[in-house]
Parts: sequence; structure tokens; C-alpha cells
Amino acid sequence: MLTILTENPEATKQLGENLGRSLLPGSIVALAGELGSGKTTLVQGIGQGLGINNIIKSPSFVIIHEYSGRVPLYHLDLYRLASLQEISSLGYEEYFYEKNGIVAIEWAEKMKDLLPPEFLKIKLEIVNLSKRKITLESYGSSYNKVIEKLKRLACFY
Amino acid sequence: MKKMLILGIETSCDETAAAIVENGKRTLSNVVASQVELHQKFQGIVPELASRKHLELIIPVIKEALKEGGVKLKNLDAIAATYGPGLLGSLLVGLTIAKGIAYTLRIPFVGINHLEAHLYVNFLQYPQVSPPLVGLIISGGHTELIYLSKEGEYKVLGTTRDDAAGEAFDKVARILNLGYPGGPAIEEIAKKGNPHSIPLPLTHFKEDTLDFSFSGIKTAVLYYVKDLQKRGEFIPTADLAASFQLKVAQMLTQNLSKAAHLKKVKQVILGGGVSSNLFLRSFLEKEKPEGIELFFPSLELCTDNAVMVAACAYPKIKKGKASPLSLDAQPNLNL
Repeated sequence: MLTILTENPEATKQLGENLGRSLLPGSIVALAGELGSGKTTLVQGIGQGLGINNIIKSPSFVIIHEYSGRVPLYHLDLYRLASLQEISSLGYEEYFYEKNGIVAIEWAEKMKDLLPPEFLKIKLEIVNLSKRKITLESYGSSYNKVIEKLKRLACFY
Repeated sequence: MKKMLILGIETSCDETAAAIVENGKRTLSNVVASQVELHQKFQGIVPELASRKHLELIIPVIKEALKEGGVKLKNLDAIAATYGPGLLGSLLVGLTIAKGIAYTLRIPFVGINHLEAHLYVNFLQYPQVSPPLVGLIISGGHTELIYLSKEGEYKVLGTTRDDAAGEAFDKVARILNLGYPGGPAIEEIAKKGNPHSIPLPLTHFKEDTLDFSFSGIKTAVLYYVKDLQKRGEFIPTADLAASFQLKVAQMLTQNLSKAAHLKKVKQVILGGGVSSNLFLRSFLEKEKPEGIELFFPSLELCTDNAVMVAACAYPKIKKGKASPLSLDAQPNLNL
């Protein structure tokens, strides 16, 4: 587990960028945090780390945005979804198990029973207007390496 | 000249809509079955529910459009349906039925870009609108600033870097406990508030850009509310809604004016659900640069509808630009 305090959205994005550089194809990143806590900002950073040039926007409305980079990024947002039943009809399994890209899921807690055993959980908490407390936790062991790598870079946020 | 009757179908998001437009100009019928009530229960869109509801509604809505327009199915000359952007499951319902009818009747089918249709409404309603011009689409899913150099030639000048304008309205409405859909709720309560009472930040980019950002304003509202809650103080909902609405209006106006100046156009057209916001309309009219003429679709044609789809298809059919029946839904379609 790793907890990082970011001073502003740029630092949150920088953390995301380092993460994007460290994640392997097939990775699943589950983001939890209230409105305005910086989930989309972090995913924007992940996109930069993957060399994606498109603007990464909030997918709240259309639920899924796909981007092609060094590794494809699938940006899911469950904000508007109500129940597990509706989430399970999304066809998310294809993104998790077949496409071999990076899957970043906002409001992932809504599908916690559907997540695979191995994923990287990132919790974002609002400390004050610009400052965020970001906690990374590996479910299963495969993301411990990523966390170790980010730890070494942590002094730069 | 023989009349050309086009049936338009729109199911990209919340609304199941069908309409008949004659010669791309005259609206014979406009039927919209909104799922807003259904989604209100869930405070948002439920995609699977949405496509199931579209399936239930699409046939009755098409029948109603034919009846209201006094048109028989066999007299249709072409069918148009939205093929993107939107929710995949929802798009497929309208697209599939449109292709089915076109195939059965042996008439042309045209797939329509939802964004183009939102702008095209202005050509339907205002004969004096003609390119070159700048367009702005503002809705729950989109914030697109467009340069239209000539008919059919679109260039995206700016877009949101985070939340869409309408999405920001929805999320701020959620923060303020105003319910869904957020746009009308904020507009209503903001009438009782002072837009200058609460200082909210307007996002500035370091570089020169025509892009938008609404996430910072949303977060500022959230933070303001949390701070008051922590201290157990009264939350001035109306003032917050009004101040938020003003900031959104300022951000939109600022880029729209800049784009109009940059492209030296005399006409600016708007479209999408947020352009039905009356505060925004009057703010834009007041703050727009001199010599620029603004066009807003009538209120019922700002939000999703099928009139815009049928109208947008007309010039394409005239030019023989029908779509193949193999055309697929494209959830991430751009202009």
C-alpha cells in the first residue's frame, strides 16, 4: 500500500503519468472517490503515460471511452449506473479479459463484486480545494511491483 | 417537383424520437418519448434500461410520427437514423429499425452524426444561416466548438478537457441535491439567486486554446458546500446555482467570441440541450462581440429530437449520399 499527497491537479496528473508508464497490458485500475476528487485527472495522467495524444474527457455520459496509445486505454465511468445487473450488461468482461489494454474504472466500488481477483485499487480523498490524498493498494500481488516503482518516484509529486 | 418525405429516428441517449420532415424544411411531425422520468428514479442514465426502453417505445413512436404527419409508411422516400455518438445499445435500436424499414421499402437509408444534426437544426429554422460560421454544441455528453467553412466541412476548434457542459450542470445539481436532470433544476433555482454572490474560479489554460474546462468550477462548488457543511452553516443553494451558471456562461461566451473573431465569421449557431438555458441565451446576447448574429434553435429542438435527423439527411439524399446498410453504430463518432 502506498499513500501519496498531491498538492494540485498537475501533481495528480503526474502520478497518473508515472502509473501509465508502469502498468502492463491487461492492467485494471479501480478508482474510488467522490465527485471532484480527481479521478478523471488521474486517468488523464495515465493516458499521457501511455502516449495518448487525444484529450481524455469524462466518460460519465457515454460510460466508455476508448483511446489508442502505446497500449490501448479503456476508460469506464459507472457514475450513472444504478445496479450490478445493469453494470453486468455492459459487456465489461471483454475489456477485462480479452482486449489486453489498460482498463481504468471510475466509481469502481459500484462493481466491486464483478472485479477480478487482481487489480490496482486507487482511493482519492479531498484534503482541501487542490490537495488530494491518494492511496494505492494491490489486490492480488501483481500490482506490488507497480507500487514499488511509484514509491521510488514519490518524492517528485 | 415531387415532395420528398424523410422519416428521422433518434435513439442515441435518453430520448426515443421519430419525425417526418418534408423536403428538409417542413416538419410534419415531431414525436419524442423521453425517459427522463424513468431515469429520475436512478438519478442518471441506466444504459441497459435505456436500450430496453428504446425497444419498447420505438415502434409506437414511429407509428405516432406517421399518424401525426398524415403519412403512410409506403409513401416514405428515405429513412435516416443517428449512428453516433451515443450509447451503443441505444444507438443500435434506432439504427437497426431504420435499416430494416429501408430494406423492406427499398428506399435509401442515411446514417446521421448526432453532432452534425444538432447544428443542422439552425439551417432548418433560419433560412438566412449560411457558412462560413462558428457552431457550439453543448449538451450532457458534448461541448464542441466547430468551424463550418462550407456545407459539410466541419473543423473542431475546441472541446472540453474534462466534463461536458451539461454534465457539469448534472453533477453540480447532484452536489446541491437538486435532482435529475440537472440543467433545468439549476436554471430554475438560480432565478432566485445572486450570480455574483459566490466567487468561483474560471479555469484558465496556460496555452492559447479554444478548449473548455468545467471540472474546476464543479469542484469549487463541491468544496464550498463541504466547507459550509463542516461548519454546520446554511447552504445558499440558489446563490451557488446562479454563480455556477454564470461561470459556465462566461466560459462558453469567452471561447465563442474568440472563435468568431479568429475565423472572422458573422454568424454563430448553437445546439444541444444546454443551449435551451434561457440565462445562457440572454448572457450570450449581451456579451457577444458586435456584428455577430446568434442563432438558437427553438427550445424543443435544442434537446434530442428526430426532426434534426430527418432534416440533416435531406441534402445528403439529394446528393445521392445514402449510407450502406452495413453501417455500424459508432459510440465515439466525431465531427
